[in-house]
Formats: sequence, structure tokens, C-alpha cells
Amino acid sequence: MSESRALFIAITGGIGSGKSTVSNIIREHGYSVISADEVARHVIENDENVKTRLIVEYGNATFLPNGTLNTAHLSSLVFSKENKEKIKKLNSIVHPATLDAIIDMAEKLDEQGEKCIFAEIALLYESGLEDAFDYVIAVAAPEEIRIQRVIQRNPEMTKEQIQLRIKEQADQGWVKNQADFVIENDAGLDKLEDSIHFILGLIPHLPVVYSTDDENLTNDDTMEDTQ
Amino acid sequence: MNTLADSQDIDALWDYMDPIKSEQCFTQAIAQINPGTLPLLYAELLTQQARAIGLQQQYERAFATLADADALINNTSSVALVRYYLEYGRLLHSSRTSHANEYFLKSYTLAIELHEDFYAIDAAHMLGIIEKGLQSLEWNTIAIDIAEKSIHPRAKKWLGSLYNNTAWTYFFSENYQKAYTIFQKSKAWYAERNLLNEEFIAEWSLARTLRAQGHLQEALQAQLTLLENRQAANFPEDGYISEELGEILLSMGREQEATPHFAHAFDLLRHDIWLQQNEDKRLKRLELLSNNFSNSQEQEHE
Repeated sequence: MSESRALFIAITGGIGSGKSTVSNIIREHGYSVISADEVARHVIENDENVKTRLIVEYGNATFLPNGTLNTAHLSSLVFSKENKEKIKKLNSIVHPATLDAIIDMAEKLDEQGEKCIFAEIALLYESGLEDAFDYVIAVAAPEEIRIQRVIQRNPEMTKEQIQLRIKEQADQGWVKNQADFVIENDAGLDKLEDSIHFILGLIPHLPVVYSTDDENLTNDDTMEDTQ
Repeated sequence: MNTLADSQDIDALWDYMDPIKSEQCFTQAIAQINPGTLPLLYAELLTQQARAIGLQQQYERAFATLADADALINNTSSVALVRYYLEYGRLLHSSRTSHANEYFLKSYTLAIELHEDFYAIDAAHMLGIIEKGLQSLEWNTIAIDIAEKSIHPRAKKWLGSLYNNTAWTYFFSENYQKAYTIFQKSKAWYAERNLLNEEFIAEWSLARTLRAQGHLQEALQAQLTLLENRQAANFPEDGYISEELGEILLSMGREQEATPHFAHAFDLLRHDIWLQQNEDKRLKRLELLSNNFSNSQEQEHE
């Protein structure tokens, strides 16, 4: 990216915090938001190196006969009790290629003249990716609200399963202390839109933080932080 | 450390007519920013929150908020520091405490150093307000010079009000020719931007200056033209025009013709809170001159 490149901003937050709602509102304002989940899925299903490593680690059942990811199989193996090492292993396979793909997409958007590019990344800090961004927006909500939202979206999940997921993610209070901006998504859409509107008003006037030297940051480096 | 290159989006939170609402907006905005990672942006917002609190005349709380900003800025040369000095000066000035000019001067000097024209003008304009006579004029002239030369549209937006303030300073120092010239600039500036209300105010000021110069016939014609222009633009009646028409006719010795204008002016301006609080004598005079009209009418009926 050139020195007068676009600002690169991460949107993060735990499960049920409302990151995707925030991302959608930001999209409605005309900005591009790269979804790390979508990119990761694309990488898993299309990057032969990643696919092979996943099959070696988790078996042939990792992919359905049509080539798409067997989420249920993978979740049952990774998101179980005492799973920290399994999650780390999965991340070490998927994250480097995902970050590469996100950076490629961001560079293309930058070349197209976009001034601010957002990326929605749930596990930003857990993956050690925060330094790749100029600014971080954390989306937060009280745990009870987060659990309700997830149950609404995934009625098959139990409260305990969601609590386990929350526990596996970085502590929300800690994330809020790390992020540059915090959006408290606990009081309805109007307040949420006001908060986003305010931040979107500020961001284009903020300076670029991440220096061009940092572009040499390798994915191996980022992953080392998490392992 | 990060600060805003252009703070207009912080200022979008302002409603100067409603400082309580503005304070709430700044409080909400501050809650969204991490002072640990964006201390200068956070501090800049605190300076504006302090200003909103100050406008509610809660000076102690406003100074405490500025102290929080000061701790975060930690003397870092930045827009946040420029705005800290500016708001500290404004608080000192509005709380009738001395040394406000020292803070405006610090703000001005740093803003010039950082090429922050908008704030340099703001500081110079505040110095123009608190200094007297020639010094006031000097600061207004400096502010105009920066605004005229600035490449920043936001800085240029100051020009209309700067011309107006400067022209009045000349007016009150009885340099009517200079005042007239600058009121003309003010009128042209507003006309270019289709700011009709402000353009009408500039026209009124030009006519008022003509009266001060003793050009009564031209002053009368100018006020009558303004009256017609306002009517044509569907603007509401303006008591200040009626007052001026009365004063001009009175100065021409046409007392009987002047009285109904004074009566109309009094009718329109008697509920003006600013006049009630600041120009009580002027209102009383209008009432007195209006009564002449009422008395003469009563005499006619008799």
C-alpha cells in the first residue's frame, strides 16, 4: 500500500456482541467491510495447502462430498472441553492464509481509491492481528444480551455452549481497554447508529498509524504471538 | 500519538443554542474513545465538553474537565493543546477571571506553528474581543488576514463574521469610512454565499454607518430599499429597520414622520430578551419616542 493509503480498521467483538450489525451499518454508509469469517471460509475451501493440512489434522470428514466445510464436524472436534490447543492448531492452519487474503483484498480496495477499509474479525487479539490495523473498533454488550442474541440466531445452541465460547474468547473488558473505539451495543438500533455515525465522522480525519515498514509483518510472526 | 487533522466532526456534536444537549453528546462520544490509545482525541473531546459545561455557567466543573484534558495532553504540541488553551481562555473570560488573553495568545501561537488556521483565527478573534481599541483592531486584522490567505474552507468561513466584527470596531472608534468599506466586504462575502439574512444585516450596518456619517438621505434610501428587499424575500418585519427609519427622520427634523416608525420598532422589539437585558435605555427611548406618536394621534382625535 502507498504512504497515502487507505486507513485499515478492524471491527472486533465477542460472540453475540453485534459486530455484524455494526459492519452492515458501516456498509450502508458506503464503506467496504471485509468479513474475516467469509474470507476464512473461502480460504478453507479453496486454498489447497490449507485444505490438505485440515484433512491431515481433522480427517476426511472435515469437508463434505461437495467440497464445502463440514462445520459441524470441525466444531465438534475443536469447540469441546479442554480445547485450547485444538483451537490454536486450527488457527495456526487457517489464520496466516486468511490474513494474506484480507491484506490482498484491502490492497485492491486501496488501489481502487477507497479511503477507509474495514475488516470484521472476531478473534483479532486472540490471533495477534491487531498490529496490522490502524485502528480497532470493539463492539461490546453485556453477557446476557450476547447469549440471547446467539440463541435467537442459533436456537440449537445451549446457554452453556455459548458461555463456553465466550470464555474461550478474549475477555470483553480487556478488549475494550485495547481498542481505540468502543461501541456499546446494548440500547437499540438508534443509539447504535448514532455511535457508528460519530466514529465514521472521525475516522476519515485520523492519521494512518501502521507504517509502511510494518507491511513486512509476516503471517508467521503474527501466529507466533498466539502460540 | 493521534489527533484529528480537522476537527469538524467533533464540532458536528455541537448545538451552541443548547449546551446541555451538547454536553450529553460529548459525554456519549467520549465514552466511545479509549484514552489509553487515543489520548489526544479523547482530550480534544474533553475540551469541548468543558466548553459546553462552561456555557451552562458551571465553571468549577468546566475547569475540572479541562484539568482532565490537560493531564492527557501532557503538553504535547497538538490540536488538542491548541483547543485546551482556547477553552481555558474562554472559561477565564466568561467567568470574569483575568489572564484569559495569555491563554488565547498561547493558543494562537501554537495554532500558527501547527498551521491550524481555523483555531489561529478563533484565538485571534477572541483576542479581538477582549482587547480594546487599536489592539482589538490589530487582532481582528490578523484574523482576517489568516482567513483570507487560508487554503482551508473551514477557516475561510470565519470571514463574514470577522468583517462584521472589525467593521463595528471601526464604527465605535468613529472611523466610519473604514467601517463602511469593511461592511461592504461583509455584504459581498455573504452575497457570494447566498446567506441572505447575513447579507441583510450587512446592508443594515452600511445604512447605519451612512447615518453616522451624516449622509441622511442616502441612509434613508438604503433602509427603505432594505425594507423592500426583505419584504420581497418574505422575511419577517425587522424592528431594527423601523428604529433606524425613525432615527434618520428624527435627525432630518421630520419628527412627525419618525414617530410611527419608533412606535412600530418598539412594538417589534419590546419582547427582545437581548435588548431587555443589554439595551434597556435604548428600549426606554423607543417607548418614549413612540409615545410622542400616540400622544399626537390622541390629540388629532380630540
